[in-house]
Amino acid sequence: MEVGQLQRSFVEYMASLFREGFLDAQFSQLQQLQDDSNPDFVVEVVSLFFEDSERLLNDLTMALDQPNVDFKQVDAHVHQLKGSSSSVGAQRVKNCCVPFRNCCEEQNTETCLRCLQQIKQEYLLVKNKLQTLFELEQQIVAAGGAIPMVQ
Amino acid sequence: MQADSSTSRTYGGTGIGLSISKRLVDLMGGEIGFFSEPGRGSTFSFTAAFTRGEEGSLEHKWKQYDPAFPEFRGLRALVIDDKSIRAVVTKYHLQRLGICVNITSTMHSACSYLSNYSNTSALEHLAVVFVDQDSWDKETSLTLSNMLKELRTNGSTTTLGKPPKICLLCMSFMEKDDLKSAGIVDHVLTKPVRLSGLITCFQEAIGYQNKKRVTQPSTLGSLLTGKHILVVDDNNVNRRVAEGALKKYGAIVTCVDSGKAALTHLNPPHNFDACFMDLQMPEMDGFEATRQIRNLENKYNEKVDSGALLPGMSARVAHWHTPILAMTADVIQATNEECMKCGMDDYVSKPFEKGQLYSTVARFFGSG
Repeated sequence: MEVGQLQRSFVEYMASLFREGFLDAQFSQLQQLQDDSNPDFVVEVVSLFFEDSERLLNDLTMALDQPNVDFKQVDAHVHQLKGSSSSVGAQRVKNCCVPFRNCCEEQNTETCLRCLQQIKQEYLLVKNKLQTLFELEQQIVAAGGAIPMVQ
Repeated sequence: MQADSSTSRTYGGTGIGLSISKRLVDLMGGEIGFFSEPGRGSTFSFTAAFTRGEEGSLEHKWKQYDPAFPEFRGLRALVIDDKSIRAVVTKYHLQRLGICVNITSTMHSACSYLSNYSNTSALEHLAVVFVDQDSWDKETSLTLSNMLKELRTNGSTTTLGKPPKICLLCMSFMEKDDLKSAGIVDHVLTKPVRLSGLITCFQEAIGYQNKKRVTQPSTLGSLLTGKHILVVDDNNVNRRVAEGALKKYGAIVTCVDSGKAALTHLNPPHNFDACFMDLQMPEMDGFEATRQIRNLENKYNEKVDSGALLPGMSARVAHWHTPILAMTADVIQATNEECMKCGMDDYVSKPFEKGQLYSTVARFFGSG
């Protein structure tokens, strides 16, 4: 595919991610922080987010699997996830955290498990989307083009 | 050199401008020329040699110097000037500050404009009316002044709650006094108009408390460049994002992941100009960490006061109080008494919002 087409696909894809609520304004902020002195900032931060989230989701799964669930611990994990998803602009993941924390307060294992399920889904979706986005970027660069700035 | 000496008496200036321009053009590898017709006017032109710039370099430069005056956004100005090019230049300066500008050529047409748009949103945020001295018409000025005062009293809701100011743009300060004392002109700026002058003018118009004269526009870059900042957050994603944002504005950032580590770093004497502290952390949260840091600072200050420690040993401050700013996603928690009680200075939202970050940081690092 020629560069122009790749760039157009990139712009459209990015726009769809914002439109569908996967990403919010904070992600744009991250893009603006990227510059010549910090050329891989977005990828770096997002990679940290992936690692962090997967660890937290595992911890959550284990915590909710206990015979006596420690809801304070579960809440602490969700709080972390809310913070990091908020920092990268992963809006849909962040939005799952608030109801999750309510369920923790109610100390309801059943509903907590459902929240966990939902958040896992949202996380996998956004991970997939972001990885596709980064791949598109790499294709553009490999074809000798510049990555378009999307406002 | 000017054609004859009467030019400088009428229009001011010494004729040196042309020499300076020629010198600049020479330095740029070009040539300057002009076409002049006595009684009509002159057209000046020049050539210069440029090289192609790097892609995106201008964007980067402008982003660095993006003036952040959130308090000016949405305000309007009216420029009264019969010289259209000069008016456009004034408009350009104002637009750089985020201000919307309308131009009219005479005070008379300005009065028409005001009466035509009197109850609309167009005039709601009118903060200042700039009048070039060439366009100043004494008779109409009183009418204009009254019309502006009426704008506020006819029930239109405004953000300012007071009449728009009239600011005269003149060549020298000589003419200003009688107009100002007559109470018609609120502010005077000498030409060429400078950004700092416009800023002061607007700050007065919106009732800015700070009496200090602004010497240059402040940006987050000018406030944070070279400052040593400590970021405390137990989450590595948050740390990295906060660090990236602060570094972008030129700060020198150190990140730690716990309240305990923050204590070690902020035990006086140290090199940090400020600290951004997450509130919710395991083991030692932001509140407790701050309490303990203030404790350490108090002890240190006592030692200095009692003479047990020479302030020279710390080489920087005699009285330690490192600005600690809470980073919080939950604003309600931060505005809580507890935040201030434990010794925090202020809070910012997490993730950072540029305007809020600027206004909070400006309180501690001044305006440049």
